[in-house]
Amino acid sequence: MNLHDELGNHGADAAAEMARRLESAEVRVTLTDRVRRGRRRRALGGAGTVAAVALVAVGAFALLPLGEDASDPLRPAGVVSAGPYEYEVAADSREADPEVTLRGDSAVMCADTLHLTAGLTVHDPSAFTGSIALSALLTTLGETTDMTPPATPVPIDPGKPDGLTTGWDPDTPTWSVQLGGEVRSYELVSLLMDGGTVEGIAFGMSGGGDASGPRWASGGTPIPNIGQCDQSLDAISGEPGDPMRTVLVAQFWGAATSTGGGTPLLATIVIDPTQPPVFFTGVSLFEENGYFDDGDTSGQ
Amino acid sequence: MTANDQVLGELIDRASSRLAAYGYLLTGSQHAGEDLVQDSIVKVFVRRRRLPNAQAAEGYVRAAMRSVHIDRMRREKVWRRIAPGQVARDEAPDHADRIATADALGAALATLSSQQRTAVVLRYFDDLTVAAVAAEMRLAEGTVKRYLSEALGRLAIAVGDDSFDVEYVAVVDRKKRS
Repeated sequence: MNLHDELGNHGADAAAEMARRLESAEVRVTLTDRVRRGRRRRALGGAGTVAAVALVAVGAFALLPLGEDASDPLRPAGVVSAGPYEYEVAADSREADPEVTLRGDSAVMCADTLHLTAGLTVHDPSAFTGSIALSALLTTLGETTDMTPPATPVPIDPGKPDGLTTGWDPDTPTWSVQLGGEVRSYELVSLLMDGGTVEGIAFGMSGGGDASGPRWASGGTPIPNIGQCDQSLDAISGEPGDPMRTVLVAQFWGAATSTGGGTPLLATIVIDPTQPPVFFTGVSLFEENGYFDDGDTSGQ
Repeated sequence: MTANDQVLGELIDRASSRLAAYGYLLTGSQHAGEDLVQDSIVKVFVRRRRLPNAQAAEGYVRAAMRSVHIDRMRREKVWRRIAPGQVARDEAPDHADRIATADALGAALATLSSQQRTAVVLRYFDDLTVAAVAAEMRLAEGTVKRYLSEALGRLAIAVGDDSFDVEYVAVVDRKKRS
């Protein structure tokens, strides 16, 4: 008797009625209300906490000298964290030719030598009216919440998508990224660098289509392993890459021109986690735009 | 509707049966299992501002279910010690629970203590290592091994099958004894 399977079967048999109740409209409404009430309470409590912490910090600042290390963006050993980095195209954004491209025949590959400039670079004037923006944060998965390790379940047997699932390693570092703007398409990769040489590529989010207008997306991008140069399973089974040797690269393309010149590359954003955080506005662009509250992805 | 409301809806559509099964296995009760699922969903969605999709949310909810369940067990244990009259010994099984325990494994699981049951579920359903189970339950590894050993013994007797396809774990480290 396989106890693993037996437990799964027993739980599934007993839970059919429970699942029906959970899926009822009444429970959905109740859950949504409880979440909203909880968030309001948490926000109120958070405001009080911020005020209290600020008061204590002011007192401590008045009494204690702060060393240079206080500005170090990295946390103690064992915890990976860098950012957030927030970029938005502005009138004074740097303009230059692309140092890397993520698509086409000349797309970046392992062993390429790159000289990347951290920050936002505009390649096409139409980028200045496109509200292109990106917000990124490098964290250890276990640190993204103060609860026990999070896990994204993956079916152990691909033939049984509703069957038993595996978890994931909570210590795995990852980039959390939101990006978008009035663009035709975008591409995001995480490169593992050895000096200027690419030794691993993790493909993150990409999107595109015929629709014009704003296009926003959010998601996670893993850290490439050493020698991970394609999307095969063999490639990602290598030795884990050092998250502090990664470079996150995002590129945005506009709509094809009427002269048939293809879709222009509008802008590139390069993020180096060893650099201090960058706040463009001090407020998350995506929160400011109400993206997450309104859930408006209609432009996608 | 907010983005998180949408993810919440997708989570319920896609994962309610899996979460319900997990809640039932952990608690041994349909009512307690339902409460556990709902409380954990609320906990995750209140604390997490951004949940990328239902799949990620399910992972967070499962993790929250473990921690909420273990916290409740520990709290009940403390209250049982300091105010025995304030804590029900065990929830009386309802009709649905009686049907669910009609099969041999269900009946056998019902004989386990909540700690033994939780250890079995974490070890053999979640496939955690003994060390990981001990960390989750905030117990010594030896205690977890004892729970597992006792639980497997009881399950084998109740099911009438002493050949569970699992590895048995030593209660005492034999190397240390020799």
